[in-house]
Amino acid sequence: MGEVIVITSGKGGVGKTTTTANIGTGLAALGYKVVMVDTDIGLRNLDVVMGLENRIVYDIVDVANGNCRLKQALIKDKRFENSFLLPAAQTKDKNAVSTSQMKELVGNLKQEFDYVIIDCPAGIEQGFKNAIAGAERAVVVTNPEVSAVRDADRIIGLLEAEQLHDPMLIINRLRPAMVKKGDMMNIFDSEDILAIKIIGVVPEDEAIVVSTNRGEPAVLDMTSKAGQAYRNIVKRISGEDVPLMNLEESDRFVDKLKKLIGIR
Amino acid sequence: MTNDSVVIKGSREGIFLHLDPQIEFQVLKQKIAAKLSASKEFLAGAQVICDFGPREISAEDITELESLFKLHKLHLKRVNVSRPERSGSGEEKVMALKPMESARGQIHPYADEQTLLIKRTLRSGQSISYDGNVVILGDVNPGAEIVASGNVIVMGALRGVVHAGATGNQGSIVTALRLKPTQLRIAEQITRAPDNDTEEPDVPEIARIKNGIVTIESYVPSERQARAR
Repeated sequence: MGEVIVITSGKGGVGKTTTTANIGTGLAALGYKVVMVDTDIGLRNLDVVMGLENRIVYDIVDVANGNCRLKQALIKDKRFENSFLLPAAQTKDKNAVSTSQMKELVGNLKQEFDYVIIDCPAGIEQGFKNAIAGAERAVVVTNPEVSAVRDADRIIGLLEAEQLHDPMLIINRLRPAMVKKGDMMNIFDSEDILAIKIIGVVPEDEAIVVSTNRGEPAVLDMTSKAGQAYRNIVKRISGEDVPLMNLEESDRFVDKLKKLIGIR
Repeated sequence: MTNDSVVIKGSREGIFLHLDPQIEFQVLKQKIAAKLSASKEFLAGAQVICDFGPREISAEDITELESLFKLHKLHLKRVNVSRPERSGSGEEKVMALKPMESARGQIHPYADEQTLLIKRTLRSGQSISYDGNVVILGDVNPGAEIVASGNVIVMGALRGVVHAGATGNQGSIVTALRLKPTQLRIAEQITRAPDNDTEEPDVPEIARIKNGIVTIESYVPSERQARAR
C-alpha cells in the first residue's frame, strides 16, 4: 500500500507543479515506484514540465468516466522505468471529475505504487476539493511573500477541516541575498504565522526556469542549488532526517569552484 | 416520552428545532436523527437553529450534532441554550456558530459562563462570532476574524481582525500575548496600527477604551501592580 501526498498552495504561481515534478522524479530516482497525478483539469502543466506532453492519449477524465482503463492513461517517464504520470484533461473543466471518483481512482493507484503525488490546482474550489479527496498527507508550497503566506494559511485551515492534519511546508523561491538585506520575508516569518513543519526551503534558481522549459526536473541537476534542495526534500518525505541546507551565498573562490564542478 | 420532544418549525432564518429540555442528550440526538431521516431530502441545504431550552450542553454534544446535521445536508447555524438554574428567566445565551465552510465542525464552543474557549489557532478565512467572551488558546492569523459581545483574550499572537463589545459594550477589552491586529474594534471604535508602525510588541498588551479612544498598554496584572508600589 502506497502513500498519497497532495501538493497544494492556494495561490497560483508559487511552484506547485515544479515541486510535484521534482518530488515525484526525486522519489523515482531513489528507486520508489511513483505516479504523479495532475488534477489541474483545463490548465494542465505537469505533462509539459515533465516533458511528456506529446505522449498523452487518455487522461484523468477518461479514467474517471470509464472511457479507458487506468493503465492505458498512465504515461511512463522518459528517465525512470518506475515513474508514471496521469495527465489532466485540457478540454474539460474541474467539474468533470467528482470527489468520489477521485477517491476511487487514487485508491486504485495506491495499490500499485509506493507514492501517489497529486498536483493540486490553485484556488479552493472543486479542483482543490478533488485533489485532496484521496490524500493522506499534504505538502503546502508557499513563497516568502505576504500574499502567498496568507493563502497558505487559508489552505492549512481547509486541510484541517478535511482531517488532513500536520501538513508539511515548502518555502519556494527564496532569495537569500534579499533576505539578508531585509527586503524579503525570511523563513522564520513564514514559519511563525503558519506554525507547521518546514520540510524544505528552495532558493530562487535560474536552473529551474531552464529545466522547466526543457522538461527535465531540476532534482536531477547535480549542480543546481534548487536541485539540491529538492533532493533533500525528497529524502525527508521518504523518512530520512536531513538538516536544512545553508542558503547563504558564499563569496569564497574555493566554494565557487566547488559549485562549478558540482561538489558541496 | 412523546414525539413532541423534537418540534421542527420553519422560519425566515432557517429551521427551528425546539428540543425538550427534560430528555437526556443522547436520547434527544436519536430522536432528532429519526425526525431528519423521516423528512428525507426535504430539508436538505437548510440552516438549522437548535433551541435546547434550559440545559447543560458540552462542546462535544454540539460537534456530534453538527456531524449529524451534515449527514442530512443541513448546516447548524446557531444553538440557543438558557442557563439551567435560571430556567425561564429569559436570560438566554446565544451561541452563534458562524464558521465559514472551512471551519465547520472544527470550532469547539464551550457553553459555559458565556465564554467561548477555542483551543486552536484561527487561520485565514475562519471566523468566530459569539454573544459573550471569547478566549483563544492559539494564534489569530491575518484574515481570521473574531466578533464578541464581551471581551476577547488571545493566548498567542493576535494578527487578524477583532471586535470586542460588538453589541455596544464600551467596557470590553482585548488582550493578547502579542497584540498586532490587522484592525481592532471595541464597541463603535475602530482602530488600526499606524501605517509606518514597525514596532513589534514583545510583551502582552491590553486594549480598552479610555476617554472615548482606544488605548493600548502593556498588560500588567493588578496584583503585581499593587505589589510594585
